[in-house]
Amino acid sequence: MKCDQAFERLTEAQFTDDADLTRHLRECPRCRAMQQTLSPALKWMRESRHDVTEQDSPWHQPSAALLTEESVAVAVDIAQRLPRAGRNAVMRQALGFALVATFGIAFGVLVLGQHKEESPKAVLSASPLPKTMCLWTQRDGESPRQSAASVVDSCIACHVPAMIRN
Amino acid sequence: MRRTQAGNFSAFEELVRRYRGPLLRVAASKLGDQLAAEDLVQESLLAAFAARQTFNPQYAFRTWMWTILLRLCQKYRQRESRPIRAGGSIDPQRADGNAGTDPCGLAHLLQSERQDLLHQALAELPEAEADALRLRFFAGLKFEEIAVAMASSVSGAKQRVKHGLERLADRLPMLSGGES
Repeated sequence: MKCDQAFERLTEAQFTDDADLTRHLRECPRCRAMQQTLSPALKWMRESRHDVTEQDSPWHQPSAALLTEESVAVAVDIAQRLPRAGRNAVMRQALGFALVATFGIAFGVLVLGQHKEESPKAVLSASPLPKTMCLWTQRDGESPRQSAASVVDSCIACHVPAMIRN
Repeated sequence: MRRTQAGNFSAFEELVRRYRGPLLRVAASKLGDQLAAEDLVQESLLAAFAARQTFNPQYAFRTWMWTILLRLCQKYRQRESRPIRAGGSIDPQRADGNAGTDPCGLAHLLQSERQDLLHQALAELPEAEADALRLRFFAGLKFEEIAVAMASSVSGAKQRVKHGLERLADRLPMLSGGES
């Protein structure tokens, strides 16, 4: 028995203890704690159910005045929605899965693509500029995107004296 | 329901006998007024009968019936626009009579008081949680049926029942004075 099934059994209107549930409660501290927390409310709900049953008044023939156009319209509306509601729920779920899957794939492709574009290796290999060329003076030209290392190389080439460099 | 749709109206009487009690329990608890609940249950059953040809018997009559009742209860409450009276009313004459002549009179009064407290606690809950509890315990619906009747998911219905029970477990001892 799983926790979900245990909850269903615990909240049955006409509760009867069984071996499966007892075993589950013995082995699952979470469900055991839940049962202890909910037990006063469960007791009240079940006992009140019997009270109300005993007080049920006998059936008397309804008067025609009770039937209104509005209530019939409600019944018709719900009758028409019930099947669609069932199908809609399945459709919505399927559509949800499809959307999430599509979005996930698209996102993955996008991220992987970007990652490829921005990888240092790709940038360096795409760079046609020599390491000693000053990127600052070339900033107006259409130079390809540079890696951080090539920018640093460029700065060193211009600003650090040759003797220190060597 | 198929037989009713085919013109066998005594089949509908059988449905009335089967559903009226649970419908009444839920309506009385929700409205806090036994007479209004009886009227509303009858109205719901009559509406189902009048709209019988629009119902697709492939789907559960039970779910249809419960959804009609919940919707009509909401409309009744909107119409009346008055605060919910907690629990059913106790008829003083009946109570006094019971107390004087019936040896079980006191037990009935205690039972009635207990029931009122529960209905008061239910009335204090968020409506969705209270409805889910009523449908689960007073009507004996499965979670799948509660979900359809309340236009929620099955896990949503379970959450409503769980949270409702947790709040009741907190509130009921206070209302009944058991915490002292």
